[in-house]
Amino acid sequence: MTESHPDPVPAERTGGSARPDLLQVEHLQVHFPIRGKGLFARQRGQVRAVDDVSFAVRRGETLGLVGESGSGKTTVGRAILRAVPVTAGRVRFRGDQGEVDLLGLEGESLRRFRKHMQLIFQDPYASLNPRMTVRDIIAEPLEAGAQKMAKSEIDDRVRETARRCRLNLEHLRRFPHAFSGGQRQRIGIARALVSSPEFVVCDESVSALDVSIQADILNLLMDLQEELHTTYLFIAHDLSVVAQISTRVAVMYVGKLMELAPTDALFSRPAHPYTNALFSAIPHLDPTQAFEPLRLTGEIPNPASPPPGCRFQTRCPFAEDRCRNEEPAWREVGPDHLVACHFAERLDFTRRP
Amino acid sequence: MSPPLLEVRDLTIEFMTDEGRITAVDHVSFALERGQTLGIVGESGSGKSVATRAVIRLLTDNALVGERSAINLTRRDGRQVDILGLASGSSELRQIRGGEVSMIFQEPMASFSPLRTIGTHMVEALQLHERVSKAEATRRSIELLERVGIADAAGRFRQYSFELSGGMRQRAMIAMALVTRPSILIADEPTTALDVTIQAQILQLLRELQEEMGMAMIFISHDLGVIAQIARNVAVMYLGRVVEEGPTRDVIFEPRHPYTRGLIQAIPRLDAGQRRLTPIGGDIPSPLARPSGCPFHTRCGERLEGRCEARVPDPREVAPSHVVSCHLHD
Repeated sequence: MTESHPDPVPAERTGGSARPDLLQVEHLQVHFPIRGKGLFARQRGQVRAVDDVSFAVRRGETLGLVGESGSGKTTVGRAILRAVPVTAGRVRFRGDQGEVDLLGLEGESLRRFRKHMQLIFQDPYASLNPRMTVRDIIAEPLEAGAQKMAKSEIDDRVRETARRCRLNLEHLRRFPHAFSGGQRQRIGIARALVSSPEFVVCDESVSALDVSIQADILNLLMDLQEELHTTYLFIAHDLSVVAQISTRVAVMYVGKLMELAPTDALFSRPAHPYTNALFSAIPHLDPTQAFEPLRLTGEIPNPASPPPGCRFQTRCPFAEDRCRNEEPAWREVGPDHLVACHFAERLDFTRRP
Repeated sequence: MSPPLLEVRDLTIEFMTDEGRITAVDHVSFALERGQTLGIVGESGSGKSVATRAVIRLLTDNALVGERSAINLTRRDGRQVDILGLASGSSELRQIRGGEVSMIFQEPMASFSPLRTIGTHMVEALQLHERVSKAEATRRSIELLERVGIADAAGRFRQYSFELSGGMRQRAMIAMALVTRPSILIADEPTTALDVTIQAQILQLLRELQEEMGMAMIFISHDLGVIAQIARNVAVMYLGRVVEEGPTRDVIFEPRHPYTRGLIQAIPRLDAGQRRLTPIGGDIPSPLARPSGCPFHTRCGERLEGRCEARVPDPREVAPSHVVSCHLHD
């Protein structure tokens, strides 16, 4: 099909910095207490799951967020959606309703605002209530919303959303167990989109799916974004998947952002040694290309006791004394290209195409 | 010509379940030569894990193995045995399992008892298969723990698996599997649960160890990229059947089966740009509703009406060692 959609916000991978910000995250911190055993046990420390993270998500873009275990990427998404308590920072949402201070919302006003931001889970099996029909699952965000909608209006919206997600009307009467993994993920997507949210967090939304099905769901997410102009924060550990769908990509490591750049710039000219190491670790589909991953020494640090200075210094092949003593600033090193490394200008990781 | 190290012939495995009889592995044959790595790639329900578990007879009680199936292993002393013909409690099976054929899994916790230390596991495994003193077994175990990259190996030797991090546990499991110097290592998605930087370390380690010890390896993965980097030959499985097999580079550069082609096209690429992917249409059928004829015909865009749903295609060699089961190549 060569049909072209009218698209007021073209989704090019060069970044699209002309777009206004939908979401501004400033100095976000999420710390979880570690307690000893027992009811009145004292707090023994804290996991700095997200530690002073700042970025913006632009209207209509997909911002990819990648990271390994303990990077805090999932917690960033949950914090924005107000699903975990935030320790400090500020999140501004500049949607159609004007600017909203997300972390200031409480009680009824928070509940009312939830329809503007939704979450698509990783596990379509676990996230759907087995006792509800597909119609009721998809309709729930509308029925739980603050303002009353007529049942006929809800039905119309559910049918319309289901159609967009390539589910047919017959499917709506059934229960989720009757569906395959890919179909269940489409149900999860329909449920997230039924309230016409401006912002959707996709948290490992295709990670549990087989490759042949995963491609279908990625296509669906891209199509829906084009039709509905939804903004995505796409969180995943799989860099290839993130590269496929994202306008820009942010890389996290042990609670901090290491790098953020337009997808093409990040993949062709990574500026942070960690980003470069991540890329080198991906097994290439071409067996004639030598697989020479950078040998990172040691393991990912525990976010409960992160190393001083740069979080990556314990494994970085370029680390110097300065890296062990001084935390690198989060700064712009190229157009729309942010990085947290003292030596970003000195290191050249340009990748051959 | 001497027989291959391992020859799986006409392997069929069915499971009796409450919902009916499920065919997990359907007339699968493959061979493994000494020192070689065979990759097996497949998605959910492909039967890749079940087929390889049969090699060490690690099947549940409700499994039925086909009467004509055989798994012939050439033992260290040169004798040929059909592993499927051995009695389940026999000493020969015990010698083979964990001695000549070892297995590592996605989840290393399953390989370790929480009640015993890493060292106890390794020493017991070694003493079960070789006549060695405890001191000698301890020395060799610690040496191997060091070799797989575990810092303070002597200290870790006395620890329990739950005290180690994920990457360390995976290394300890590899050390335990290799302590008896097996001639075949079966690796079932051993890096799937790991972070990508840790996965790269483990893949490198397995490649080095394989070369040093001269063992053959069957490496199972859903990730064709991992297979491309570790296996010289690959078998592509779909719904219990091998649909294509051959040298990995031939299969990746010139896939002949529509399923293999679809699988390769569906993989997202780093350098691809925000383009649409080409998914394989439809869903993987339920094992309870196996399609007739070619198992892929329900999703295949090149289906030949009247042929593909009617008859199972025979394997055909389309290039040297490159074998495809597809009616398009009849």
